[in-house]
Amino acid sequence: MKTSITSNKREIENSDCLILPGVGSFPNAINSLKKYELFEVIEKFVASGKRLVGICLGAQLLLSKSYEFSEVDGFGFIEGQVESIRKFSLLNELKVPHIGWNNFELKHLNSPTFLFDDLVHQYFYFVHSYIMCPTNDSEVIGKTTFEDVKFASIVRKENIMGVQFHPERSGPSGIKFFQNLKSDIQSEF
Amino acid sequence: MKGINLEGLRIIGKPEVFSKLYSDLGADELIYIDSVASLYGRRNLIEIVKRTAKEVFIPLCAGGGIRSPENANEILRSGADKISINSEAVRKPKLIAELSSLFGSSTIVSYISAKKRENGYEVYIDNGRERTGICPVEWAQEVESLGAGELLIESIDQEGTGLGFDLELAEKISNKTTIPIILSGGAGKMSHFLEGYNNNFNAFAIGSMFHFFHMQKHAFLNESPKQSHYQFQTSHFENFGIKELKEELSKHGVPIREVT
Repeated sequence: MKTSITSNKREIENSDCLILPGVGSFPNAINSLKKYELFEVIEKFVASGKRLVGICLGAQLLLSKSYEFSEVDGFGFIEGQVESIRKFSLLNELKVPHIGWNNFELKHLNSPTFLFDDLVHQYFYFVHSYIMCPTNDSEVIGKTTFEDVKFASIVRKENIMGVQFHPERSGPSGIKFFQNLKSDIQSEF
Repeated sequence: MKGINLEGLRIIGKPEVFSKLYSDLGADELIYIDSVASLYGRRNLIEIVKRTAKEVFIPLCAGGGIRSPENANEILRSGADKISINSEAVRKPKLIAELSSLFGSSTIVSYISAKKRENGYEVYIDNGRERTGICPVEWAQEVESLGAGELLIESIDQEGTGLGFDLELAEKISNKTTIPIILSGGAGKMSHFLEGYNNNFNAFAIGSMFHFFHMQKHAFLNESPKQSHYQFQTSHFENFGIKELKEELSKHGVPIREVT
């Protein structure tokens, strides 16, 4: 399988799967995607039915809007918003960002979750201050608990998936995640 | 490189060789501090980060001698996930705000190196060489408000000794801040971690304790041509490697990631 890091429209259009990473802030990321004219390219990519995987901020961008710094619209592939993790905690001394290794529990085991079946209870690396709050609980397939907050760490709707953690920084379990993704893509051919 | 109380620094081996082994054995994060960057330049660190990032897939924090957004960008582009900053931030606090807005606050680790003095704790810079007259608690509050995402709190008194973390310093800072803390300096015994964990600390930076164990166990770590004799305070260290320590902490009920 060929992989590349790109901002080239043609290369994106010709791919079978797109991974949208993200570090930084929600408004900056959306502005950059628009500046490089990739916002619509990604919308078209998703409309074509091909897989899109968002990581961390890249996953948050899939939702309708975010309240990081100011209210900013996202792609809206998944209905819901992105909010500060603090908003959901009763603890005064909650240490944010949520930085470190944590795991997830899978929800709705009837829906296809094959990418994660062998990864339940494995630890993944998280670093974030905001969380995804999808409107439809059926689009949340994995949840993670940080102190007194339980949040959506894996969201999925049709060909779109988002993970709040960083598989690329999660050692062996992250490598397994990418191997599962690769098999999933290859199984279609 | 290792010293004791940040003094008597000796080369112990190649960072990327230690990193690969530690990552395979279950380290949760790697922290590179180029302690002499200000003396010898930073190119070295960038090359080490590049070589490490090719083989290691856990978070990597690197710092030492970062003076500008350009320096930070170069280290991040080389493969580091976070940068740590101490001396230059003390000289020019605005740098933290600048870096945080450019790279996101969770990318910026404020490295606070402190020593206990007669009338309280004091922040030190330039690898423990320069006093600043600044109170670490106030400084921690300031870096948080400037946008640092994490604190690396190092006790110079405990560093390299294996005599335990300075929980008093850590508590003082933790009580006045709301960003996560990594405790550094003093790891030597299993009980040090349990004590830290029971006081609500859950991230510990460990140097000598692991170097001591693994350099005895893995001969290839000792193959650096420039290596000089470093004397560990052997009697202060319990015999725990990364895997062994994690297993033991897990037995004591600490939720921890273990690599099989």
